[in-house]
Amino acid sequence: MKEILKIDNLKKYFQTAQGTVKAVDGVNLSLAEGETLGLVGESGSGKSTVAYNVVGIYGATSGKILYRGKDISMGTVKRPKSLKKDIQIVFQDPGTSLNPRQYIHQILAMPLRVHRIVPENKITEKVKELLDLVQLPASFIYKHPLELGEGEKQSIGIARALAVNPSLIVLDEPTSALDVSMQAKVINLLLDLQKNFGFSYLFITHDLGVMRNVANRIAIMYLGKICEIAPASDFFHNPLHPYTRMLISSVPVVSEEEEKLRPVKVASRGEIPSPVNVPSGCGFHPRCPDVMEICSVEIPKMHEAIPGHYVFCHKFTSPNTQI
Amino acid sequence: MNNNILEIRNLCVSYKTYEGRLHVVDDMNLEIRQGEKVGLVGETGCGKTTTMRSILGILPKPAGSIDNGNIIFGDKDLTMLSAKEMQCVRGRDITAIFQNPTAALNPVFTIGQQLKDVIKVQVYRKTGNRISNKAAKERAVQVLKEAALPDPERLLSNYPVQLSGGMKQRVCIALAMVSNAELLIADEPGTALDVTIQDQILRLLMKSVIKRNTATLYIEHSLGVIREWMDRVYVMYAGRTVEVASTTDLFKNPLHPYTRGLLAAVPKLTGGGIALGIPGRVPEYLNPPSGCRFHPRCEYKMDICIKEKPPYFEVGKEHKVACYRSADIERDS
Amino acid sequence: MLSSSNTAETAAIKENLWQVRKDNLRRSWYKFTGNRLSIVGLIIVITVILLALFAPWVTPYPEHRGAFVDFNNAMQAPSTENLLGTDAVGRDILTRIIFGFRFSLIMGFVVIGLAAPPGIIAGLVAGYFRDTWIDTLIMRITDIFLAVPPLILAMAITAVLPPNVFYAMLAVTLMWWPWYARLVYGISSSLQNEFFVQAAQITGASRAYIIFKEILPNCISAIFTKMTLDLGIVIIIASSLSFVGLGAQPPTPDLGTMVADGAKYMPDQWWMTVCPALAIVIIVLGFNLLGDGLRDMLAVEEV
Repeated sequence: MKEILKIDNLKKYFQTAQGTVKAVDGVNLSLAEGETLGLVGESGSGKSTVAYNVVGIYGATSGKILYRGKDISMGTVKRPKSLKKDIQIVFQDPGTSLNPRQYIHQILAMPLRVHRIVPENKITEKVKELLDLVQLPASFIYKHPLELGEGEKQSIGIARALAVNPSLIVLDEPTSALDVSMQAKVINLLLDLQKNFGFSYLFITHDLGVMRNVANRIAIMYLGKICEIAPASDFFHNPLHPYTRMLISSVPVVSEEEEKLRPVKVASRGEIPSPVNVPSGCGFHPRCPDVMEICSVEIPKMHEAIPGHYVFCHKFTSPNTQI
Repeated sequence: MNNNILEIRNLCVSYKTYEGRLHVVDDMNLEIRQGEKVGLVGETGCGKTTTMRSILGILPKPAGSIDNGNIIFGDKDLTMLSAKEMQCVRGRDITAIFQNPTAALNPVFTIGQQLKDVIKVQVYRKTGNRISNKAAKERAVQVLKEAALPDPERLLSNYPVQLSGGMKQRVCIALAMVSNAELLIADEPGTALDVTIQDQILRLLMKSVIKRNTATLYIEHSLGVIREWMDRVYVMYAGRTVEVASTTDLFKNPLHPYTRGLLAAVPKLTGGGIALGIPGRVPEYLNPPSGCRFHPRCEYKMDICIKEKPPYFEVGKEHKVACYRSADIERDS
Repeated sequence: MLSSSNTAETAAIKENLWQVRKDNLRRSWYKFTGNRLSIVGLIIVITVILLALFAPWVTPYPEHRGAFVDFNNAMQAPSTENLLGTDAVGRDILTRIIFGFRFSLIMGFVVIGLAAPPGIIAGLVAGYFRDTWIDTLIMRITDIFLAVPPLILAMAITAVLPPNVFYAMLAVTLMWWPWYARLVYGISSSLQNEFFVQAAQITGASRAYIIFKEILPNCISAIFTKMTLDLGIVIIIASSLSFVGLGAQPPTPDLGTMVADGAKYMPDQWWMTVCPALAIVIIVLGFNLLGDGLRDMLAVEEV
């Protein structure tokens, strides 16, 4: 399968009053066409920053982002217009991702007009088509976002992303603000759309349950670096990185099958450090149950422990490890 | 029977708005026994926040009003108390922890000042004595230590903005534990936190309530959290509790169609895709559906469901369902 | 698709839009009338505007508005012939107050109408280009205008130029636009990081579209509320200018001049000062209450 997106040693630093925030610190990822790559992590992990870099809200501090071979690491301001059609985003908070002062018709017509997808007199028709695609009634065109439920607002956000017929869609926690049944609808909608139109998804979430059912491959991030990348079922059946194991064992589950799947409980301890004060060596070492001497001194290297399954941990690369 | 700390009977609460009267809570029933951990699970708009506000007496006035029913707390009926009487109950006999720890703490006062304020008021209310600043400070350090916060003495002079989300929520737990209340109401305390931090916070909270034998009403929309920590669970839909059971029973044998739909829609770590969720939307409260409020979305509905609200059918030890088809569904599963 | 069914459908949608707009208006009215005082404000403002518009026909002595003297009737206390008394040269105070409303309202509407648009545009542009040289340039110019005390600036200008209504309005306009710039700048710059603005930028919408179609609609409610409240303040400033002789010139009736003229006859002929002063209070109060109501009506729907 062709590779549609490649992120090469991406770094994004922010200068703040407290110091340099290393939001993204050397991330390598690749996404194949039609695939869903999941990016999971807690606050401070940098997953949203990666998303915003791909979509162009931020320009990279260093490193490259290659879309179909072309470097897109500059921000949206400098990108060519055709790129803006190809890469779209669905935001996390349905409440603020739609302009409360506009009608749905206007919100969906904007991308159509910018890229002249259809002539002016066909805009209303196309807007209704988009609403139909996300399973909303055509009568919504003159509603305000405030009149809609959270799930419906999120569907409008998805419709807006679809309007320009993109190839790559970045989804930044699209269901985190939704209830369980709304979430199920939206996820199934996204999966159907992917099946019908062949979109590639960069799917960001902190919800491991959603991730398991949506992603083909999963990458987990901590303090700006990737800890582990693996195909979805491997990620859950055989988590290698101590942080992954801690995360999966902390997730509350609803069934016994899931209980059995979870690794032996790794009690979560410690606070997540602020990205201004990243611990030396491996950023996770203050909280790691398997910490060794080398962990506070040297930064680990990414290592392919099993084919297709990469870990960023001294346990797997250091010569004197006992597993 | 009178082991009950809190008993809500046939509670009806509504709000007055531009469009008319929204009948949000409709015939709500709930019991909590001493030292019990009870979960109230439901989605947005089902009325759980309204219920919590009714118990605490903080319904927005003049829009919100309790139309019917009783909230029996110990030997008092909270719906009958005046605002002043309610103020004595709040904080002393019933405490609360809320969803957003940043909003719950006053940003312009130090942690120490806020803790000492609460401690002084609670001691005065309980014993009628005023304690010294020094004694209040000692008690504050003690509660912070219990909440597993590092270096409590220094923390007293910190402002909320200097703490992380998890630490702020620990402070809120400490604040709630000060008065050794009989009932604690927790409104989704882990929702704003990261998963690994939420795990720590919940463990701390459960340890505190078990130690003090405080009854807890835990309002939550995440089923996983409920399953892991609660003794008994109430499932709420559109203003009414539709199913109640012990935690193990509810997850092994969910009977109400809404509970079943909800459980099926939760994405599982074992994979296998996500069920389609429950068709339809949460009903609007202006003209709620007649009879059973779930009937427009229910695949098991019968004529009587549209006409009359189902009573609670007892289907097992402590397991009650408000559904006419509960027996059939048991057979199916 | 046949064109005829297309137009029928488009017509059906248009009707729907009007329906939606009507619903919105009804809901807005409900919110506005939540506070009784807002209705009082609305009534006062409408009354004043109507009185000013139809002044020649509703006043008891329309000829008193100009240069009219009747020393026999001068300095009469309020009576049935002159409800608010007469002034030093025998003119009916009630009539002159109503004609004075005209000057106040014209001053208010013209000044706000001239000051608001440049201020709004400056604020929008500065907010959009936040943290760039454009932002700094515009907002520092705004700061310069704001640094001068308003009345002093007005007096300075009218001291240099001939004192009349036109120059007085110019003076007030020049010191008024920066407030709009600041207000809009605050909203515009805080919206830059909102997701819907980002979405428009990511999709490639032009800057003009984002500024006028995405950001401006979110400022409208604050702007209208401010305009209403400002009308009251501008009227006071206009009256103050007239009070010190820099605004309307005699014999034009103006509330400020009337207060000034009547001041020397206090406390015996109190009505000559107190009545026009009360008129100023009422008109400003009316606009303030109306502004409060507008804020209630419009505020809830913002981000």
